[in-house]
Order: sequence, then C-alpha cells, then structure tokens
Amino acid sequence: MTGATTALAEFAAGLRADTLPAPVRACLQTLLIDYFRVASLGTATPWLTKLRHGLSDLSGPGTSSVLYSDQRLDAVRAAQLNATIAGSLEWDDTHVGAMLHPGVVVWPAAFAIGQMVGASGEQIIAAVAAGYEVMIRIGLSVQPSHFRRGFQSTATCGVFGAAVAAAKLLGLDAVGIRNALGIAGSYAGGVTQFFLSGSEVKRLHAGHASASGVEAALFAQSGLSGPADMLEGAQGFAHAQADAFDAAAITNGLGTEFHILRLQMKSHAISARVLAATEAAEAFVGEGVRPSDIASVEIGVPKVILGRLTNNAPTDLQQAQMSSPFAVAMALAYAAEREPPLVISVDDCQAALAQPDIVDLSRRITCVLDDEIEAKSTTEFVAARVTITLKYGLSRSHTIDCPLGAPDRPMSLDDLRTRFRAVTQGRITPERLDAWIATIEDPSANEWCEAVMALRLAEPAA
Amino acid sequence: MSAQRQLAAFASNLRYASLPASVRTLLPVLMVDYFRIGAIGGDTPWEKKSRAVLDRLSGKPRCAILFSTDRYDPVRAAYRNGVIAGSLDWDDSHIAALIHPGIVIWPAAFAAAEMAQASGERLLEAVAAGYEVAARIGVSIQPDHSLRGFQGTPTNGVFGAAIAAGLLLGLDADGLQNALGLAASSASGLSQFFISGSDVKRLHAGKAAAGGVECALLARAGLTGPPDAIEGAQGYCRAVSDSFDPDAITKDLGTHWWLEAISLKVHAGTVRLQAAIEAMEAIARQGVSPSDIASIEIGVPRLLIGKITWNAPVDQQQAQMSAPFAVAMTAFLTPKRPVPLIVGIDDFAALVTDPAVRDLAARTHCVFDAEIDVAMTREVVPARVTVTLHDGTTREQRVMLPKGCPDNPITPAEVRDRFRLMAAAKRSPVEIEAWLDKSQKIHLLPLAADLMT
Repeated sequence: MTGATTALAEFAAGLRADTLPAPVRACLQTLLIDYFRVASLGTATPWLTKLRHGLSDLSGPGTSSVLYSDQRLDAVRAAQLNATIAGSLEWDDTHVGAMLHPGVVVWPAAFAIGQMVGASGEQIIAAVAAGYEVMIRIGLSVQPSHFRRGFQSTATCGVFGAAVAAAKLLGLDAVGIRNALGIAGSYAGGVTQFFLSGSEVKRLHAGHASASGVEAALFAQSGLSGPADMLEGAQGFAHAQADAFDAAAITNGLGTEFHILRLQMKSHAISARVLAATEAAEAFVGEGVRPSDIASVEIGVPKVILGRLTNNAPTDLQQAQMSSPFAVAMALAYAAEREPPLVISVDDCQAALAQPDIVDLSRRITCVLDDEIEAKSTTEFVAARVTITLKYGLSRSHTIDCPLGAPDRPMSLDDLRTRFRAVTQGRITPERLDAWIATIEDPSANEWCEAVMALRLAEPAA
Repeated sequence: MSAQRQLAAFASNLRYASLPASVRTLLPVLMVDYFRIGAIGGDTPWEKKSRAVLDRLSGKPRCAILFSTDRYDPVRAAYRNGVIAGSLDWDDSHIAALIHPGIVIWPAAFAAAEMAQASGERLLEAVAAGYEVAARIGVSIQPDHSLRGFQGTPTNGVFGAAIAAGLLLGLDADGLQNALGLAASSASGLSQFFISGSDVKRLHAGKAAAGGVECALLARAGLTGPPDAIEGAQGYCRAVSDSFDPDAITKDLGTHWWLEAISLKVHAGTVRLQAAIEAMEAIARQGVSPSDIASIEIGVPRLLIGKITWNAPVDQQQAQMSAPFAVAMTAFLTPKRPVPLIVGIDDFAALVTDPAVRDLAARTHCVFDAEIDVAMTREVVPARVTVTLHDGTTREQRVMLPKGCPDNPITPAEVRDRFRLMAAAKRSPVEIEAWLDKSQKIHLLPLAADLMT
C-alpha cells in the first residue's frame, strides 16, 4: 500500500495546471489577490523592520523579489520576508479544520523559486495548488491533537506545503518531492506559548515555515534524501507531534477533492475562529445596542478554542488578535462609531489595547462551552453564540452559524477588489490595481511571475 | 522566576574564572575533538550536496569554514560547519539528554565569535553555557521526547546554539530570554531515519546550529519570544514530551555541571553501540573469526529497542545507527586491525553493502537484557554480546563502562593523538602541533576565531 508521504509526492508530481478543475483555478486567482491584499498592509510593521535588520547581510545573490519593493534576495530569504509581510497580520486565508494559514506560506515559496528558475504562470498555479493541498491535508490528518499538544500548524505543516510547491517548481519528480517532504519534516517546528505569553514569535512562524520548505526543496534538488515515510512512520512527524493520526485525511479523494475550495477568508485582522463571535457582536450594534448599555457578555464557544482564544485580558497585540472576548469588545465599540461594513485592522487592535472602555468591556466577557455551538462548528468554521445582558437586566442572543468568508459564505472577486482598493487607497491607483488584477487572470502571459511581483505601493500621502 | 529566565540569567552571569577547574579542563578537550571530526567530515557525498545549496544562500562572508578557505555569513557558516562535524556520528554525546551538543554549539559559537571578534575566554563561557542549557532542557524531557520520535540534537541543540551565539553577540539576560523564546519555535528534527534511513540526519546539527545563530541575531535586532516558551503550558517541553520535569532544568544550575557527563566516541556510530562494538572486539580477539559464528545476540536496554536494533540497514546512515550491523562489522574488521580497533566512517561506507557482513548482521539480534537495563545510567549505555559458534559453544562479553564514557574517558592526551591522526591529511605535522599548542591556551587568545584558520 502506498504510504501517505509517497501518495502526496505522487499527487504533487502529477498535478498540472491545465487539468485542474475550473473552480480550483478560479479560487487560486482569488487567493493570490487576497495574498497581495494582506501583504499590502504588512510592509511597515515593527517586527518586519526588526526582521530585516536581523537578517541583513544574510542573503546570497538576489534572485527573488521582496513584496512591494525593488529588493531581491536569495529564494530562502525572500520567502522568509514575504511570508512574514503577509503572514503576520492575522488577516490571511485559513483552513479552520487544519488550523493553518496556507496562502502566506505557499505563495511566497512558489514565487521565490518561480522567479529563481523563470517559471511560467501555469507552473506557479500547479505548484501552489499542490502546496495548499498537501499542507491542508497534513494538517487535517493530525488535528486537533497536534494543536492541543501546543503546536501551531501554520509553522509546522507549513514546511511541507512550501517544500512541495518549491520542489515542483525546481522540476523534481515524485521521488524528489518525497525527499523534499522527508527533509522538511525535520524543519517542522513552532509552538503556541504565544497564546498565553504574547511576544512577536508568531509573526515569524509563516516566514520560518516558508523559508524552511524552500531550503528543504533545494537540498532535495541537490540530491539529498529524506525518509520515504516521514509523515506516517513510527518515528515520523505524526507520531512525534500528534496523539492521533488519520492517514485517510491525507489520501481520501486526493486528486479529485480539493480542500483549497474550503478556505475561510477574513473580514478582520483577527483569528478565523473568532470571526463568528465578532459578526454576532456587530449584529447587536445594528439593533441599537451601545457598549455603555452592556452589563456583561457571554460567548458560547466550542471546545477547540476554550483556553486558547478565550483570554479576556490580552496584554499585547498578538494576544489581542487571538482573543474572542477582545474581538467582541472591539466589534461592539468600533461598529457603534463607524459606517458598516465593519473592518477591524491590525492598527485597530493595537489602538484598542490602550482604550479603557474596550479593555474594561473585554474583561466583562466570558467564554463558556456551548453544546449547540460545539455541534454547529465544523472542521471548516467555528460558530458562535453571543449573549448580552444589558444593564437594565434584559438579555438576548445572536448565533452565527457560519461567518462571512467561510466556504459556504464566500467573498466574491468583487468583494475582494473593493477591499483591496480600500486598504491601498492613496497607495495604488484603481487603474493600476485593475491592470494588475487582469495580469493575475492571465497566467499564460510571458514573464508572469515578474509582472505579478511588480506591484508597488506609493508612500502614503503625508 | 521562570525556568527560561533562570537559564538566561545563568548564561548571562557565567564567568570563565568562576567555572570549576574540571569544566575549564574539559572544554578544550571537547573543542579538540570537535576539530578532529571537522578535519574528516568535509567532502562526504552529503556534505558536497548540502554545500552546493549553502554556497548560493550565504550572504556577507564573515566566518570561516572548517579546514577550508571558504567563508560564509554566520548563519550559513554555522550550518555548513555543523554538517561537516555533525554528520559522521563520531561526535560527543550526552547520554541522559540524548544529544550531541558539541556539533551544534561549537559551530554556532565560532560563527558568532568571528562575527563579534570575541576572545577565547568569551567563547569558552558561551560554549559552557550552551552545553549546559541544551543538556538541561534535554534531561527535563527525555527519554519520552526521543520515544515520541524527536532527535534531541536538532531539537534541544538549538537552545544551546542560541545561548552560545547570543552571549557572543552581546545579548543581556533579557535578550537571551528572547532568543530562547524564538528558538522554541525553531526547534525541530525527527528520528524516522532510524527506521527508514536517508540523508536527513546529516543535516540535523547544521540546521540547529544555524537556527540558534539566527534566533540570536533576531533577538539582537529586538524581536521578542515568549518569556516562558520552554516550560509554559503551551510551550516547547510539553508539546514535545509527555513527561516533562521542570526541576531538571533549574536544579543546581551553576553548581552541578551536566556537561561533565559527556562521552566521546571511539567509533563512528551512535554512542549507544560503542559498548557492543567493544564487547565484540574482545570476543574476536580471542580468536573467533566470522566464519565460526552461527549467530550473535546483543543485550540492550529497553530504551534502545526499535531505535538501534534494526539489522538490515538500508543505507550508511542506518548502518551507523545499527548495533547488529556494527557488531557484525566488528567481527570482520578486528582480525585485520591493530589494537585497539577503531571503526571509522569509511568502514561503514565500504561495508554497508558487503554481502558477508550483511549476512552476519542478519543473524545478529538485539534482545532486552534486564541486567544491562539496570546498569544503564544517565552517563553510560552498557552492552552484552553473546556469540554462538557453529560448534554450539558460546562466547559472552559484557562491557559496562565503554571507553569514552565519563568513568572510562578518552584522556586529553588520547584526544590530541586522535586529532593528530585525523588532521594529518589536511595539515602538516608542524601546523598540527602549533594548532594544538594554541588550543591548549584558548582562554588567553584575543580572537577565538584564530583557531579556525
């Protein structure tokens, strides 16, 4: 019987862009636009500035572009920076069941190697489709026990997605891709103590995974081998890093069913698992509830987020973006002040930490395990029930079964275009953005990689 | 105070002059042994293949490569030197922590020292702290960490490398604590190679050394990690092990030195098969030749069942991890070699496909041995070898304190002799003696990196 590692390698090696189902191709275009949208917000964060400084003089000859800049670095460092630019805002595409953000790891790896080897757009599409699928399926095979142990799967499973995308673009066959997976397994690391203690380390997780996957693929291209059963072996990835392993999640429907079609895209720069609660909070504001009316709030949550995304007193930005109570408090406060639709940005999260009314409201929000919400939550999205008790004693609830951006409530291409325009207002002209989106829609064009990476941001007007 | 904080503070406060004399004596011995394997580890097939990649990924060439004129940036230099020294399975070993600290920490420390123009004394402080941190984290989660499928060298090694590099790059206790927090997300490395072979373990030490240097550089640039990423409820130790003993990290920190429990290896294979080779050598020296042998039984402790007990290695990497194969090789090599036998890296390369050796290995089996299990300590793995001859008689030998373990050490003079032997292909006798002189005075050197030239 073919093992999981070999099955994934053979699937990836055989995947061609021209035989991908049309919805998968369409989805990839949307995801690529979303990757650039998120990245447009991540080029000036404090942690990116520090990362660039820390990595100065550590790149080989430049082959691959850094997003929104003229800088070129070697493929490993370019992947590291680009994944950090896009993957450190909590605004990226998410597979809820696999508990990971594939796009911010796979796209940077693919473009880094794609530019290095002069790959065509069709080759990029095929490589990225393979990378997403491998990463998500590996995540599904080890979740949720992988997460419960304390691993963050964007970082851990990410190395496999990046390695597969890079290996495919390097022209490796099934054995070569299997070796890249085998080597990548020894790079799979990343723990979740940041949920409890904050810090900037999670900002670096996607970058670490993307760079490591590219590195593993380059080693495989150079002829180094990895264990042929790195994922499923008795001392392999799943055994080491999870307490339950479902090999069928890797192999079932491989090549016919595409998990890439089941991603969550985010309206706000917060964890995908708190979006439903945020939407419920927004609904209260629409009904006229104001933060000053509220005595207390209870959020009904499923088991999987209890204790992880339920800290109602976050102490730093990272924790603020990973807190269901804090998200609800922000939504109640910001929605009351703004025109809909509500968008909570990274800057909003940072600002909220210094706003006593939001901090105080968050502390009055508790999370409880809710059996109905547990039943409604799937491997693709997390439902939420928010119950508000008003100061004059009445209480009412909103339940959101499926948040906007979930696979069954997707954002359209026009939604995305509007959002991209909104976040780049004054930095990319609408004409330039439309022309760039037209480029995305034609991956058969010559020099497609270079054309895609040529998007630039003007300095915001003073 | 959190365990991670205590490690950072311990490292930050460590001064060479306050180290116990025994530790000060041991450090140059470990360093000479690191350079010994560095002299022979270049130009292996896997080193050439990994070098072809690292050549393209190195930035500003500030740091020397072992026994080479190449220079790389500090991260890639640490990687390549870790591969050169760390891919032979001939390195120093800490049994309780299940780690080879030297091949991760020396490459990281020398790269950072060269970048920072640090002195020999600073280098030794950094290395002592690095060994201790890596060993203590290892001891706190082993053996369960290993049983789950992690290899302790790349996982726990990255913390030691981050500490050593961080100290040399001038980090204070806060900076070191951040470097450890970042390292917790960089710590990785699996042990499926025990079962399936492949080249991946050849990269493990280099990867960890590079990761440690990078974490130190990022912490120096101001990036933060969780202050308790090592021991926290969702931190590293609990993620990678089901039996975490936080006290082991901090108990007697600064007074008890785990690094004194280091073993050096006579033979190029895992430290856990050294006793079995020695036992087989003793039996072969009694006049037993391979053609006399019907079968061989190796008595091993429980921890090693399923790790080093495979008797049909698929490649050289697995052969170096196989007690049955190593014992079978020993039966063939001993009659042709002077006393004492040294099973080298080239022997494994030459014999891994040898039909006669493979045939004997297939008749060699490991069994759980209660007496050996009880005798195994945090410092030594003993072995029993029982050979059954075609005439039905048996020969049995137990080795409880294999050469190289802390209670039967390879002496400093022997370590220098091994260096002379193995560096001879790369350096003239005059150069070797001059380098050895310098190595004995490393604590007085204004620039530690002088030793890399």
